[in-house]
Amino acid sequence: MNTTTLPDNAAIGVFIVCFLATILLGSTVRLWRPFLSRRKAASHHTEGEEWGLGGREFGAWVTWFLVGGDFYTAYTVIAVPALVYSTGGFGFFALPYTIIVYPFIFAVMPKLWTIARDDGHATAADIVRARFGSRTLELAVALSGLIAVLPYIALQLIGIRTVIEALGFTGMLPLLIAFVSLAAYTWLGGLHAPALTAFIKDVMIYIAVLAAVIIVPIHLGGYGAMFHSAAQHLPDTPDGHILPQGQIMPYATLALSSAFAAFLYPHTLTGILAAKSADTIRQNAVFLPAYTIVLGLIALLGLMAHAAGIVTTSSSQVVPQLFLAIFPSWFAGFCFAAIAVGALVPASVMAIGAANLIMHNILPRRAESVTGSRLAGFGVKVGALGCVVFLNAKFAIDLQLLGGVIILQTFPALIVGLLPVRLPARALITGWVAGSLIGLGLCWMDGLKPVHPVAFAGFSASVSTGLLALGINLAVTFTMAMAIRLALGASPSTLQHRQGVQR
Amino acid sequence: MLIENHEDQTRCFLQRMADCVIYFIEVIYFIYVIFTTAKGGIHLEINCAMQQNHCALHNSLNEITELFFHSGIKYFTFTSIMLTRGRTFQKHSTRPHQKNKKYGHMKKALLLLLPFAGLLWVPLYNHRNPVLFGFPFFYWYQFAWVPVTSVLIWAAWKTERQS
Repeated sequence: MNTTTLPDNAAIGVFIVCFLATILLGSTVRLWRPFLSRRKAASHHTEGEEWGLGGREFGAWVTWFLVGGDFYTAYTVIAVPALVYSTGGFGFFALPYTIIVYPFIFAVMPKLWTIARDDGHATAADIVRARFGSRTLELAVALSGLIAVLPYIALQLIGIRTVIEALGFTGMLPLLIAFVSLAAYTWLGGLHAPALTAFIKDVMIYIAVLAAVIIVPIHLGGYGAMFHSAAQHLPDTPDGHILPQGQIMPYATLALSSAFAAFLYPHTLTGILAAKSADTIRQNAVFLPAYTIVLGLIALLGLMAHAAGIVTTSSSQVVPQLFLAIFPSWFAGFCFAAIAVGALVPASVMAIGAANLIMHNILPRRAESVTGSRLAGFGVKVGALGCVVFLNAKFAIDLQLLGGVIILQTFPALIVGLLPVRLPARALITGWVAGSLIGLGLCWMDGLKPVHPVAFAGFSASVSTGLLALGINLAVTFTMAMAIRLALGASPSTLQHRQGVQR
Repeated sequence: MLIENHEDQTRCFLQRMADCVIYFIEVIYFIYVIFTTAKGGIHLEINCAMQQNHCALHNSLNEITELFFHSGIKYFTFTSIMLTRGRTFQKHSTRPHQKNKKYGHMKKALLLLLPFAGLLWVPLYNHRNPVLFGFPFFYWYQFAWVPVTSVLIWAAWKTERQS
């Protein structure tokens, strides 16, 4: 039984006004941005760097909105509550994930930013090429980023489509609207569009979420009653635990692997590299966790939907249905616009990040034309549209999971490469191949589940496949690095020393 | 009966809190030892290379296998120097500064690793009780880590600027 509520014209009207206003503001950013900034708009940056990295001049506030805007995507607003709706507490692994990612950012990203600024790099693959001097490794990192981000953009399109469908439109029209709005917005605005409209998105999402977390418990008689009635709809867990024993390891390892993967994606890295200074990033690591509170509250919507008696077979409709059920229709329309804009902003940054990868790293001759970047970004969006049209939505979410496994394999080259240990490029490539193949193989064998059962010395648990593949990747990389050193680089004195150690 | 039950619950909660704290300290100590071993080793090695112009040592910085071996030995040398505070070594004026820097590194690493320890050890908080404002422990514990993490990162930033 589906408790589907259909909205009226007020909802549709408010949605259209809010959504269109944001797109117009973003598309015309070139015209009105000079009025905002005190400095001259014409700067020493090339047009390509201006389009792709916003001229590398975003201060603390803009970075806060931009990184927050592209890190917390439609995936957060639609998929996390959907997971909480269907699995209960397990879906909350997004909360530890989005907390521990910040110490990681604080420790790693200022270094990466400094390297990128000093040598004028725009992408992860640029950094890797410069550090290891290997075109193959650059291609590997760039391809991983591209493959991982495509289904992610597809998910944003699905997010926009979901709310347009919830407004009562059917067929191909919602998807077409989603695609055209995204394309116009990115083509004209470049990175400045999402950076300056991200704050609209955030304010809208904050309003929607705060209204939900205040109004829903009032409807249902407080949070205690809400948790209580939600628990009755979910599988029971013994001894006052929230997670069953078998879900503990997946919970922790998924949080860890997601946290490691989160800022390897081209879009999140674009947001980081566009910052003005290393201290801007450090400052943001302190203040960005404010978004995590909102993420946690959004995740609670999944439980609230149970308590509010929402029954739906398509779990991605949980949040729209909840909003329609509890809010007056004009405010539901506003919330839908918030979700749609919340998908548009990150999708645009993703397309730009992927375009940067194509223009800088994949195409052999580097053309510094902004039209080329725009075309590349458009191509990426067409690819994402293809993902949505030719694969069903369920498969797109699975693909997003595979994307996580793939992007995690660039961790050794990008992050371990920052440590004062010299890894030869060949070792990193071998590790990347082994990690990617084994990771994808395991995912395939497990029927596209994010965790893989492991049994080792009397200990058995399910571990995140991405983390497992990363472990294999690192092991292969270090073994190869040692083998290469032994074969080639060891001077007589160090060789003697090592033999001494072995005996 | 009710009060007794309540007291029981409180005692149970306090005991668990104490367990958590002890566990926290153990985890942190473990991480601390590993981290200081690696970090201290690298720093002393650079210091040695600069002071004694010892090229072989400097080159071996690039060696992964030897890095860890050296760092272990160097760490123990370093600590023994620090502990004995032999008069012969006191003429090097760089040492107090280096000690501060090393201490800052350790403190920073510790601050940044705390959220990992607190959130990835799920059995620590996989409980329904104690309930706070209607939120089961599982949920409010994780929410509580958000501001705590912000403060920890801020403290780490401050430490970094000081050293």
